[in-house]
Amino acid sequence: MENFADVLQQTKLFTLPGVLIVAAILFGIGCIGVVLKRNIIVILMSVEVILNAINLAILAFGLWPIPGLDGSLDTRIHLDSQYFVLIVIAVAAVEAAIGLAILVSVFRTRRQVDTRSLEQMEG
Amino acid sequence: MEAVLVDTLFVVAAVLTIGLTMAELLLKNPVHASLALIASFFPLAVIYFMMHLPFIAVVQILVYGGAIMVLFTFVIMMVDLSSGDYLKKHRWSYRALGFGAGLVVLGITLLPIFLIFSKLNATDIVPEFAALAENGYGGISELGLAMFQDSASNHYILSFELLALLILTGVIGAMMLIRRLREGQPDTPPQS
Repeated sequence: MENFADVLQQTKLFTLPGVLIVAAILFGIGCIGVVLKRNIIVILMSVEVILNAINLAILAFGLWPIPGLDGSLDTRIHLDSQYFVLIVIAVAAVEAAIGLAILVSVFRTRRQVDTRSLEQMEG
Repeated sequence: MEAVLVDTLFVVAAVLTIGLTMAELLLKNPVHASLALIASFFPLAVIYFMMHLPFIAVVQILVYGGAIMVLFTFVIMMVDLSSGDYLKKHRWSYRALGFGAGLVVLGITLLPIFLIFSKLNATDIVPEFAALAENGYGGISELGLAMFQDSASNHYILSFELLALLILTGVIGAMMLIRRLREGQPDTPPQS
């Protein structure tokens, strides 16, 4: 079995543009969900989808680093990208918790999770 | 030949992820949507495995699927009252699905024990992981050293502690948002 690094050189779809296209499509789907959906729970889940797409893009740049202006390659970027993704996952967890807390407190006054009940600023 | 296999696996995993994410948008029932989202984490983990990131793949399933989506499920049960009747009506299919999922999780948990007792090594199955351990990237030990060391090149310990502080702030904020005041006072917190 040949080295995986050599195989990575020969793949035509599993490259940096390929993975970035997948991340971009996921990001677009998440944005559509955030903008167009009426149920607050589904909106919060679409925000998680957006953060997942961001993770995929960060890790793609970690695996296929873009060389600098003088041609040098940052070899630690694979490790640094993993740490960045861990921070993004932790921040996503905290944001989901606070978003759900806001949802629960909204539900207590309105008795429904439809965003059409939030269209007016007062009341 | 190997490159075509890797390409095919990537295309299958990517199509599954994008399809399940679109299904999460298109499904009407929020319980179905959250299940589709949890299912979409697994092909994404396959892509992470192919990118030499086994730790991030597992952490993503554990934290996103195991903690965040469980939180979502609790809130859906609390808030969306119509899902309860659906669950009561279809509880046998949910029980069968849960039993099947439990069997899968049990198999995944017992697999390392089986491998240890049959004297296999992870590097025998996937030789690339051995090469990665020599190079030192992609491994949990390297990531742990980078997080907790404080040298000139690795300086993540400060951001790690600040992240813990952020999580604490989030927990306190969430509890403050949903606290109920004592009897005789309204549900909503006072506008200060």
